[in-house]
Amino acid sequence: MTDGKHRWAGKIPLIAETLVLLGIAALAWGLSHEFAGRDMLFRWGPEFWPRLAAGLLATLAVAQLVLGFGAADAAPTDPTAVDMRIVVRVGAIVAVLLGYAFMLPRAGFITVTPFFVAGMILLFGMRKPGRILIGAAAIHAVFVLVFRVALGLPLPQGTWPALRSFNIAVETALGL
Amino acid sequence: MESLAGGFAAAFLDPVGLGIFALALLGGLVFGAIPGINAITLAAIVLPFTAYLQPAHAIMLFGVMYVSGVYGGAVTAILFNIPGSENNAPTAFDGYPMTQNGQAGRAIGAAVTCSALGGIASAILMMIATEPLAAWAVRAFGPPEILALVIFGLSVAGTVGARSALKGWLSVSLGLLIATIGTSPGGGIPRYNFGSMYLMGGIQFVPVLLGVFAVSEVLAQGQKSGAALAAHPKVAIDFPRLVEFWRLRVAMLRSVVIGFFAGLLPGIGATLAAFLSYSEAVRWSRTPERFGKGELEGVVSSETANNAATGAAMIPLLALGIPGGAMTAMMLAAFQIHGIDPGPALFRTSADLVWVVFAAMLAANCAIFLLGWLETKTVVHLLRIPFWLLAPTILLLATIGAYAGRNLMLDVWVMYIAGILGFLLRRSGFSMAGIVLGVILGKVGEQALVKAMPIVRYDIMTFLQRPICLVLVAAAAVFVAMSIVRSFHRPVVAPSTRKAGP
Repeated sequence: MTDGKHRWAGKIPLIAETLVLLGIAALAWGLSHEFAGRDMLFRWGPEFWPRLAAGLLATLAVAQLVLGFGAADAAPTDPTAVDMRIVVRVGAIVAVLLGYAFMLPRAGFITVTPFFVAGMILLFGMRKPGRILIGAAAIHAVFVLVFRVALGLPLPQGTWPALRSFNIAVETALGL
Repeated sequence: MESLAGGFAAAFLDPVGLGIFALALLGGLVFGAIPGINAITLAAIVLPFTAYLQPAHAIMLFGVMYVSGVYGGAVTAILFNIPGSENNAPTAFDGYPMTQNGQAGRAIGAAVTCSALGGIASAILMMIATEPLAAWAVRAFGPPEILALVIFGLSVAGTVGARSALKGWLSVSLGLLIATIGTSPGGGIPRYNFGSMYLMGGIQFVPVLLGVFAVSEVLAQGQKSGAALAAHPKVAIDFPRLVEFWRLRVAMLRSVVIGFFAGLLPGIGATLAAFLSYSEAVRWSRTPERFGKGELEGVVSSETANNAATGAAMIPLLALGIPGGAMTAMMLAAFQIHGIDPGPALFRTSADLVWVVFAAMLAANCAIFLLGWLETKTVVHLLRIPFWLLAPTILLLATIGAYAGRNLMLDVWVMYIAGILGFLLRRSGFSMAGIVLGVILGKVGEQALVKAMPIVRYDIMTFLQRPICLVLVAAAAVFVAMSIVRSFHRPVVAPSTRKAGP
């Protein structure tokens, strides 16, 4: 790879980041036309502050790009050095989080939380089944007792009929 | 002194009063520590029941909860990067890195001591200066001055927790944009809500806070492999030495002043006090690059200021009948339940009641010091819990905290998305502290702008002719110029080699 190509390759993350930031600023500015000039109380309009923020973001993004091209070149990073196991683990954590958010209103807190906790315990390195089960059960029990029973915080009971009935039955057994 | 002695006697010689004091102290500490469920939640729960209490006990209950609640969130902010309340967020900027460096005890000890000292100073000033200060604050500090204060705060915000001022200000700009989602403060015009009723209320701050601090931190920990995941941070229960507090005396004094005056202003309160004080600590420091990496002064500044704001927040309430925030609004309701009108006449008609509240808040701040010393020796051992147990606990705590505010799953989704985006932004060198500051200051700033511009007839020169505004804007300009000059002397490295910031 020639020096010129290497230099451009090293700037790709900077260029990509700048384009994303400029895109956000452009989107914010463009969408501001939908509500521009509609405020009868404030003369500068509801678009003033968002456009100020968008303009500031765009200016700083361009400044970063310009200064970045003048900066010392970074050492080339070897893409094969990325540990795919870490990428997979972080991806799995994100997937479990989003899956929990999806299932929580449907299956209810009491039903789905133990699986969420067990999944997280597994992803953060514990491999012994006994400890996973005990840990999940203990954490779940503490949270139900503290937040649902003691503090009386309403938590999702679920919308799927069978699981909703189960959750309500458990809460009734707990005296709620 | 006689009035204060009378207040102590009325509050603590009565077993009921002593019991209420203890319950309010512990309740505020516990609720303040739970993210998303703060002392205001507890206050709202107990408000109806205060009708059955004596007026002095009812008001004392809220005063003590306020004091202990403001401190309560510091512990989780330091140990787990989960601020219990918004006003503890700046504490996490340096408190959590201190934990990661094995200095959790030192951080909690500093938070305890400075919370107590800030609160005690504020309580004493409250007793001395309630009447004259309230009148001055309402006359001298209007929306233009608050706008100038925000501009000043924004000028410093870009240097908080960022490796470069440019990246910091980019973070702040993102925060400013996020704060515009919802409705405009002037005419209530919907902005960027894409037809969603949820977004019309704006992005709720608590879920975003929980996301960028708690969730993104758990994801960052998830990058560690094997032995690194299993390793505990070193647990040290060393209390900060007296010489360290003496070295930071200027920072503490400055934070008391900032916290007190911020608490005095209606609508500003402990949250902005903590952020402004932290920003000022960065600005005045000879080593600002150390902030965000475990600098004790960061914890000291934030915790001193947020507790210093508590006593000051009572001043407009007691002297003028103007509540400064949610907690003082609860107190106003408690006054009204008992048929008492706070205001200038309160000191003539119910002076005894006022001194009971003063005495209780002073005692609460002293009690925090004792309780906190015990916490330093005990709570830090929570760090010995393996992270495979802590991670799901932190995530569940954050999930419930996000959900508890409005019982909306959308808040939970916002938290998770904020956490994922926060994790990605951290890897690119953006500052979470800067984004949070941008959101907080952006909301306050735009509200102040909308009120200020009609006052100065939309004329910038008229705005700058107000002395306080001129001083603050000039100071902001000087600081921005200095930061730019400083950044040119520091080598800039392209983003691909940068590690994630706080």
